[in-house]
Amino acid sequence: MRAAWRRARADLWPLAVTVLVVALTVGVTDAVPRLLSSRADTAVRAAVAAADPPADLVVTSMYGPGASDPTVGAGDTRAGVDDAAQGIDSFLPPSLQPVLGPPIADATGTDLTLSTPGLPTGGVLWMSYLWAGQEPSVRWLAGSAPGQPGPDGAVQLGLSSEVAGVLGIGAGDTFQAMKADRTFVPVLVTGVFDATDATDRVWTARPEILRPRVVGQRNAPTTVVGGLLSAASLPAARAALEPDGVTRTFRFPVEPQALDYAGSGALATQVAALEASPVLVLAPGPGARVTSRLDLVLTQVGARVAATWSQATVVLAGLAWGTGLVLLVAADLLARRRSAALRTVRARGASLPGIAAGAGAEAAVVVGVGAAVGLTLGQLAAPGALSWPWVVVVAVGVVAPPAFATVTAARSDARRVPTDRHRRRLAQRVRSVRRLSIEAALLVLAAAALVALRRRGVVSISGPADLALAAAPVLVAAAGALLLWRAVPVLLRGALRAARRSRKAAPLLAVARAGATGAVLPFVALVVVTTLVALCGALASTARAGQAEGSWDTVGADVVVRTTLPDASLQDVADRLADADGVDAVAIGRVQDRSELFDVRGVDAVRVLAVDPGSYGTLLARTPFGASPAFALLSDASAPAAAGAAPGALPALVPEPLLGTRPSLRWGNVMIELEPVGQVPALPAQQADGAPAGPTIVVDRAALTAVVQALVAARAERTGSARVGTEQPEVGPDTVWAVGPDAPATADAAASAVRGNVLARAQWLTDRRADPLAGGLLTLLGLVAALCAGYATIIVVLAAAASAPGRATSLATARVLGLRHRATTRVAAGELLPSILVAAVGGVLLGTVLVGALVAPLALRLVTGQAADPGVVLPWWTVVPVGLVGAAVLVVVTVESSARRRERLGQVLRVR
Amino acid sequence: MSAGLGAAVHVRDVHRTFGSGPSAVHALRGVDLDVEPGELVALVGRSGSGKTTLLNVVGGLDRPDEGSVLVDGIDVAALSDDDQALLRRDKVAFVFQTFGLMPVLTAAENVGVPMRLREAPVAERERRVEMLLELVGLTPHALQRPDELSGGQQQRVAIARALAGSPRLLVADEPTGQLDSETGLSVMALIRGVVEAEGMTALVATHDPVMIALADRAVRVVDGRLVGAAERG
Repeated sequence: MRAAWRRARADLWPLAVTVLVVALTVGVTDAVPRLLSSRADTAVRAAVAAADPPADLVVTSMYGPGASDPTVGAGDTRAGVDDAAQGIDSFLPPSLQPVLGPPIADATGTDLTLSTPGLPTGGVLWMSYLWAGQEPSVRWLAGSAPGQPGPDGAVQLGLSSEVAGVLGIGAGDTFQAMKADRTFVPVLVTGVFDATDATDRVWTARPEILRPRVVGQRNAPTTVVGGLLSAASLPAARAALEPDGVTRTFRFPVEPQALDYAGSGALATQVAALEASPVLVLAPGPGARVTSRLDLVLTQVGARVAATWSQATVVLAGLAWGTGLVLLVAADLLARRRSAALRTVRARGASLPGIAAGAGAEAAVVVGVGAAVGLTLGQLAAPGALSWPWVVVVAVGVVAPPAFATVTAARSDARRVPTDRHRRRLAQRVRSVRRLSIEAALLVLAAAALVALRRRGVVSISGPADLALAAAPVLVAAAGALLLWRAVPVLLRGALRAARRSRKAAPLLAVARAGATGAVLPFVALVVVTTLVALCGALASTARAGQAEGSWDTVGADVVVRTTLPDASLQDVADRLADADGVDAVAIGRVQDRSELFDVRGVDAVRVLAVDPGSYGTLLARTPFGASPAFALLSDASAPAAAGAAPGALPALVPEPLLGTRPSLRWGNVMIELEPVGQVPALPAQQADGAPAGPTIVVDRAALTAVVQALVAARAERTGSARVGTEQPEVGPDTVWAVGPDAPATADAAASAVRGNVLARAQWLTDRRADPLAGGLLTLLGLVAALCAGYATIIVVLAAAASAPGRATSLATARVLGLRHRATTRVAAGELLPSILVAAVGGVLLGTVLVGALVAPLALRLVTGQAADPGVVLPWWTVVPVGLVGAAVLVVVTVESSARRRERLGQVLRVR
Repeated sequence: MSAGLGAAVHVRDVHRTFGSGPSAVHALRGVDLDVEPGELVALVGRSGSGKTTLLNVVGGLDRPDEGSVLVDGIDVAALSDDDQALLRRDKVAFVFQTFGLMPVLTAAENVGVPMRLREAPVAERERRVEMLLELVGLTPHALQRPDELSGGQQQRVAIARALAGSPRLLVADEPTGQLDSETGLSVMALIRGVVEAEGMTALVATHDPVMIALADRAVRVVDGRLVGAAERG
C-alpha cells in the first residue's frame, strides 16, 4: 500500500491530469442529456405557446336543417352549444384531456351583407353566440340583452359600442341583412354593450364582435362586423339562416405547461387520429370536423428536438472517444515512466496478472475520484437521475493503465529476436500485415459509418444501436489520422534530406529526433480532438450564420407586417413606412400559400406571391437575395393586364421546370391561365410558420386583380349571379415588407391600426438564438470545442513528457559536444513541432471536411430555421488548435530548457 | 609554476563538493594537476574516487567550488555556460564509457556533428568524416545507426567524432569499460594512435592496466586527492 502511494506520488501530475480529464468529461456527458431533456420540454411548450395561428383543437359542426323553432329559446341553445361543448370535453381521449383547457364555443351564422347609415357601401355581418362556461360578461350601455324574437320575427342582436359606432346604429334600431340567396333577415339591435373584460378568452372566438375588421382591396374595402346573440336569441337566428346557416365551433385551447417532449409524439398521433375520425369526439350535428395545428406543431418541434439530440449525441460521442484517447496517452506515459520499475518487479518474479491488478487498482481509485468529481459537477449543473454515457470513459480510464503496464512489464520477458535473417523478415512482414489489417479495418468502419450517417441521417440516431453512427466523425478522424501518420515519415524524409545538406547541427538533430520519436497514439489522439474542435467550431458558426440566413428566409426583409386575412388598410401601413425616415424600401403584396397549380404534370401546391414587381424587386435588391432582372421582365409583361385589358393569360415568374408551359392557377373560385415570362429569382424560402414555402409563382398584383375581376365579371355575365359578401376571390394585400434601420420601429407603430402581426428580422434572430434547443446546442458545441482544445494541449504535454527522457539525453550529449543552451530549445521545438503541427492542421482540415458532410444528415437546418441546409461557415478560430498546440510545444520546450539548465552535464558521461 | 601555466591542462587546488551538511560528498579535495601538450595521462582510482568529477571539471561540464582550471590557457571555471560550450566545441572532445552517440543519426552523421556545430562547409565536413571513418576502420558502416553496430564499433565512432573537431584535449572516461578485452585493446590502441597522430593531449580515466601502460603517465586518485603516480605495466 505504501509502495503504491509512493509510486503514485512520483507520478502525481499524470494522475492529476487523468482525474481532471475524467472529471470534465464525466461532468459534461452526465449533465448534458438531462439539460437537453429539460430544454426539449421547454422547446415543446414554447413552440405550442408561440404557434400562430394557435394550436388549439377545434371541433366544428353544423346545426343541421329544420331542427329548430325560433321560439324555443335558451333551452335549445344550452343543449346545442353549452352541453355539446361539455360533452365533447368529457369524451376527449384521456391523453388529450390534461393538455386541453376548457372549451370556448360559438355558434355563428353565415356571411350576411348589410348596409347601414354608418356603412352605406355595405359590409358583412356575422351573428354569433359565444360560450366559455358561461356567456360573455358585458356591460349594457344602452338597451338590453337580445331575447326571443318579437312579433315582427326580427332576430335580436347586441352590438358592441365600437361596432355600433361603425354601423351608425344604436339600441332599438332595425336593419335588413341579406343572405347569399338574396333573401333578407330582419335584425333588431336590442342593446349596445362594452365587454366587461375585453381580454377575456371568450372573445378570441369572434374578435369582430368587439372590433370591426376591414378586408379587400383598398379601392373596394369590405368591413366585417360581428353581432352578439344570446342563448335566447340564437334559435331565431338558426331559424332565419336555415338550412345550413349556423356553424358551431368548439375550441379547446392547449395548455403548453401540461406538455412535455416525452408525451408529444403520442399526443400528435392522437390529434391526427381525431382529425381523421371526428366521430370519436361525438360532436353533435352533421359535418363534424376536427382540426388542429397541434399535431403539426408537435411534429415540427419533435423533429427539431430529435435533430438537437442527434447533434448532441454526435458531439458527446466525440468527446467521450476523444477523452478515451487522452486517457490512453496518459496510461502510455505512466507505463513509460514506470518501465524500469515494472521490468524490475517482473524480473523479480511478479506475475503479469499481479502487475495488472496493481495498476488497475490505482487506476480505479484515480478514475473513481475523477468520476465522483464529474458527477458532482454534473449534478450541480443539472440535478436529476444519472445518465450513463460517461461509463465508457470510466471503463477506458480503468482498463488502459493496467493494459499498458502489463505490456511494458511483459517486454522484459526475454523474447529473442530470430537470428535467421529470413525469419526476422518474416516476423517484420507479419507485423506489417497486422498493422495494415487494423488500419484497413478502421478505414472501412469509418467509411461505412459515415455513409450510413449520411444516408440514414438524423432520424436514425435513436438508441444504443446507433452509437456507431454517432461515432462516425471520430472514426473518420481516426482513420484520417492513420493516413496522415503514414504521410509524416514522407514529410520528415524530405526535411531530413534538406537537413543533411545543411551546415548546421540543429536541423539535423531536430528532424532526426522527430522522425525517430513520434508515436502513433498521441498523434491519432491529437488529430481526433482537433478534428472535434474544428467540427464543433464550424458547426456552431454554421448554425449561427444559418440562423441569420434563416431570418431572411422567414421574414424576407428587415420587418414584415402580416394580417391573418387580406386587409386593405395595409396600404396605409405601407405608405407610412415609405414616408418614414430610416426606411429604405417598402413593398406590399399578397402571399397565398398552398394554391393549386395545374400543368401537364398534374396539380402542384405552390405559393403565389402577388406583388408590385418594381417595388418588391427594389426591396429584395437591398437584402441578401439581391437584385434580379426578372422583376423588370414581369413588370413589363404585366402592364397591359394591369391596365385592365380583357381577361387573358397572367404573366408570371415560375420555377424553371414550368418555363415553356401554360399552367393554370386556381384563385378562389376562378381559374387563371398563366403565361410564364421568366424564372422566379431567389426569394425568401419559408412560410410565416417556418414551413418550407415550396415552389413559388410571382405575379403582378395589379394584373392579378384585373384578371380576377374580369374573370368574375365574365362569369357573372354568363350565369346572371352577383358577388355576395366576402365570397369574391380576394386579391387584397396581406403582407408589407420593409427594409431599413428604422423599419421595425416604424412598422410597429404603423401596424397597430390594422392589428397586423409585425415580425422584425432582428427580433426573430434574437428569439431563435434564445431558443432553448438552438441555444443549448450552441453552448454545448462551444463547451466541447473548448474542452477538446484543452485536451489537445494535454495530449501535447503528455506526448512531450513521454519522449522527454530520450530528448534530454540527446540534447545533453549535443551540449557536451558544444551545442549552446539556446540552441537546445530550438532543437527540442523542431523535434516536437512537425508531427504535432501535422496532426493539428490535419485535424482542422478533417473537421472542416466533416462539417460539409454532416450538415445535411445532422439536420442543422432545423436549428437554423432554414428551409434548406445551411452553407458551411468556417470561423477563423477553427485554426486556434494549431496555434494552441504550437504554443503548448513552446511552453514545454521552454520548461524543459529551464530544467536542463539545472542539469549537470557530467552525468551524461556516467553509466546509466 | 610557470611551467605549469604552459601546460595543456593546469589544475590547481580544485575542490568540488556535492550536496551539503552531513550528507555532503567531497568529490575533489584540492587537486593539483598539470598535463603537458601531447601527453596522454591516465587517471587511475577506484569507483567514486573523483576521476569522473575531475574530468568533468577539466572538460567544462562542471564547475569547481574552489580552485582554477586552465585548458590551453583558458580559465574554464570563469567561462559562462555558452563560452564553456564553445570551449567544448573548439578545444575539448569527449569519449564516454556509454559511447554517447545519438541513436537517431548514422555513424557518419554522428561523426559530423562537431563540424556541424562549427558550421564547417559541407564539402569539408564530408571529406573529414570520410577520412575519420576510414581512420577508425568503419567506412563500410557509415550509414548504419549505433544500434546496428557492435560496442567496439560504436566506441570507434565516438572516437572518430571526438577527433572530428580537431580538439586540443581529449577527455575519455572509462572508454573501454563496456567492451570486451579484445575490443577494448583495439580501442585503446586507437586512442594512443590518434593522440600521437593528431598531436593532442589526452586525459583518460581508466581501470584498465593495458590503457595505463599505453599512457605517458598515470596518476592515482584517492578520495578526491591525487596521491602520486600510479604503477604502470
